[in-house]
Amino acid sequence: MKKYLLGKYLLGIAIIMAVIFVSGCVSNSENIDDPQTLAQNGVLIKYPGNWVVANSLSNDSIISVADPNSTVPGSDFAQINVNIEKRQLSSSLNTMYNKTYTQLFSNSDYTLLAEGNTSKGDMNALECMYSVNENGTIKQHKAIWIEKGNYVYVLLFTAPQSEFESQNKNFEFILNSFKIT
Amino acid sequence: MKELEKDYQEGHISKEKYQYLHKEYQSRLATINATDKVRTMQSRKKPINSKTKTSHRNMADSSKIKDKDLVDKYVVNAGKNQKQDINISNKGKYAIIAVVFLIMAFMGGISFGLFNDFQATSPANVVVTINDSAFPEVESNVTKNVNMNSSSIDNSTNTDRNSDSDSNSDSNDDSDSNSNPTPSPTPTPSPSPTPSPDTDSATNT
Repeated sequence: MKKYLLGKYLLGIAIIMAVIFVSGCVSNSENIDDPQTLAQNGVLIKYPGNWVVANSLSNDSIISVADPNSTVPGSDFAQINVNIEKRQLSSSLNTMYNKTYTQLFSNSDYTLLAEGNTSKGDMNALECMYSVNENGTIKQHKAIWIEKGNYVYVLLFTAPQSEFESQNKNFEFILNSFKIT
Repeated sequence: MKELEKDYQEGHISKEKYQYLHKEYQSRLATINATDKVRTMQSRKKPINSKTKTSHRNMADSSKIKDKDLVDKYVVNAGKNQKQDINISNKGKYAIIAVVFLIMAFMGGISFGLFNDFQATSPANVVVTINDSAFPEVESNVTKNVNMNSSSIDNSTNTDRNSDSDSNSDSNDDSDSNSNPTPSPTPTPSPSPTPSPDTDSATNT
């Protein structure tokens, strides 16, 4: 009888352990695997381990990372990427923001999806989400404008519109790790 | 009990089984003895008549039969209990085996996951290029002019962009007379001068 009870207890403990292990595995899958750190041109970010540092064609780019699995077949252009650009403020942040997007949305390929105020740490920021039709492919962008000193840092998150939602986890991870050093 | 001892001495049963059955039989016999004593005491209370001698014999016979039944019952029950104990002990064994199997399976799975790199190897030497910029050079092709309203940004919601044209976009308005037709003002006829018959006098004056 004692053995039977002991077996019951052991079985209960084993089930509890199994639940703990399984829940641990589930919660682990929600996290970014093996994040990498990149410090460059006065900013620091962390990005997913399966992403790579990318070459940006933009002159204002100070740091850029991309998912190498999202490259267009036959080219090395990544569709899922994060590009951080830095520009000197010629006027106020709002003015520069408005001027940029007034020009941008004067082109019918660009469509405004949402915009508003946000914050990054103790810094106020502006956010603009828009889509662009590039030769039939619709890309979605989220731009976060952060003012620091006399410069504006724009974090541009890009993905095909159909994949943007699924990439939000990676984008948020990079945004949360962003630091101006 | 004798048979039990005999079986044990001949090695037909193990020492543990012998001790267990011996204990069981002793306890049952003690119970039987106690019942016999109770019956004896009960029989002494009643006066024994000569008439009932035959019935006493019958009672003695029936008592023996009952005792035998009791013994059989206890022996059978002991066997049943033994079987139950065996079943219980087997269940315990199976539970322990199941637990050990589960623990080993989990440990194996965890170690397999830890020591195997399932993540895609980071392609450090892969060259990836991006052409997306926050400041793209775009050409305006929208006929409807868009003006950013700074106050609308502060509302942190989708902003309504004013369609009022500003000074920078006047050139676009000129090219889009069809999409935004503006009513032209009705021309007011200028009064034509009335000819005077004698212009010379007028000039002279």
